[in-house]
Amino acid sequence: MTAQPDPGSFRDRDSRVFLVGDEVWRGLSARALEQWRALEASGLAARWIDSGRLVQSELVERGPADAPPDAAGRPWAGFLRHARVEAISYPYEWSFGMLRAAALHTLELLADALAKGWILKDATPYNVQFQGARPVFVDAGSFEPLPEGAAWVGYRQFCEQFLYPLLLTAHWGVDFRPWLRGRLEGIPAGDLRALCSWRDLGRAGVFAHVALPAALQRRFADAREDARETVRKAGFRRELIEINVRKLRRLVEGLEWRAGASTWSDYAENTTYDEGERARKAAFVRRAAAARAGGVVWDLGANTGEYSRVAAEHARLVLALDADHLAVERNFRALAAAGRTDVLPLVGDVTDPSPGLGWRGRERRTLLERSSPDLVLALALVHHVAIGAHVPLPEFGAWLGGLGGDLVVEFVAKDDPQTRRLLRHKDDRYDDYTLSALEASLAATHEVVAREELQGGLRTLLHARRRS
Amino acid sequence: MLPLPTVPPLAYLDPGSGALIVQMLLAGVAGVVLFLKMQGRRVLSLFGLRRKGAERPSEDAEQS
Repeated sequence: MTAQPDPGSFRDRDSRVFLVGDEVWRGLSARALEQWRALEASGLAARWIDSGRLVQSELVERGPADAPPDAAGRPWAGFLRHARVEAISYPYEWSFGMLRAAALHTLELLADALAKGWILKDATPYNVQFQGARPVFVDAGSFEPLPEGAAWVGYRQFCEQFLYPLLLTAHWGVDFRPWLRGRLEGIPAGDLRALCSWRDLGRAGVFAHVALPAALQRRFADAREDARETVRKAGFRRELIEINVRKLRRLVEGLEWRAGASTWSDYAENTTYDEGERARKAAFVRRAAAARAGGVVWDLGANTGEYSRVAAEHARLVLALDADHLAVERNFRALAAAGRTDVLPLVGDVTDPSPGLGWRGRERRTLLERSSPDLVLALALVHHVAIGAHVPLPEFGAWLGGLGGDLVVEFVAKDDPQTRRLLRHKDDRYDDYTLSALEASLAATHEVVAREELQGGLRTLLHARRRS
Repeated sequence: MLPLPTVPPLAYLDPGSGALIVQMLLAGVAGVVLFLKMQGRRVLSLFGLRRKGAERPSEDAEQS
């Protein structure tokens, strides 16, 4: 297996991540190697790794034979071997609570680091990954000793990529995901400032972290001196950063998303299923998951994750994807409260999935490049895609078939109340929306091994196994 | 023990001058005092406070 450089790891000249099969390696320059050893000597590395807050990292003198060289073409001075996070995810796929948890996780590590004279070089959500509902910091090379008189260089990035998106949702009720997906660098202070009414300036965190930095940026824009020098000569001290980090933590902890009810988030309450039929549906999913035990399951349209949890009884990991960010938030809160690491909730729309973004369009990858499902659940989903989003059913079926895993698909007939609701304001032009059309679209790649009718025939569950 | 340099070497982020300076103001009284000290005589004179013996024209000429 040849070493593959991670296309998202290139900015830091001192370290670079590459993958060898299932293993994650990080090449370290001489300086980065020295810093890692110092971090270990300080006791911080062990404390963070043992408590699961920093990804498992093991210092290895000699790396893989074909390890890619550094930017100057030289071999690395040392290597870290990391535990692999099963499914990489990005902040524009996280719910509000997840971004907030990642921000608090970062601030907590920063506070620990500062107490020992260390600091984080950068402060970006791309340094945090989720194991199920648990955040873990993955950029072991991001820590460095804090120089005398230095301010926190990463504070602006923390604001643009963590704080402003959280403020956007907490104070304006606006979904931050399109903003982060549209601009990887985050939200600039000036943009958020422009949205502020006089009343907004009084909201938590807005004056101190949006208006004031924006105003000071203009004031000091044409200063001749490097601002870092200015601040250092004034006698900046570490304690000032510690005070600010404490204040930021309190601010972020206090931010809340006052969500209105979104259309489908009341699904669990409004469903027409009775107890008996829900149990039958769960049993159907359970059997399909058992047939692919120990694998990865994608639950598309997972809503609050009821069937994700059923699949998790047999799966190694379940990705619980839904386009409704309130449902994902509810799922996340329940998973986080239970401390679960086997279900990863994500916000995503199958008709508009995460694209390749950033440098060369590969810095941040598409979902299929990051995870390979052994089983895909498409429960109560096809009518949303085929009727709600007008994707021809045969095309959607073929797409499901091409994902590479077994399938559990629930066909929701046109007479079902939820489908009728989607058809309410439209002409019924959906001649291709039939169970037989769905089965036909799967026939080339899959074989239906089980079916079950529910709701008096309005819903049909299909279990289709991938042909080898 | 690593030698501590005066500014973070090889820092690749643009810290934003406004963001650096605001850290002084946000850190409470201690930071504000630093900020005022940084502004030097200009701010003190704004507040009507002047250091003794600072009013000679030759010294002012050196400042510009």
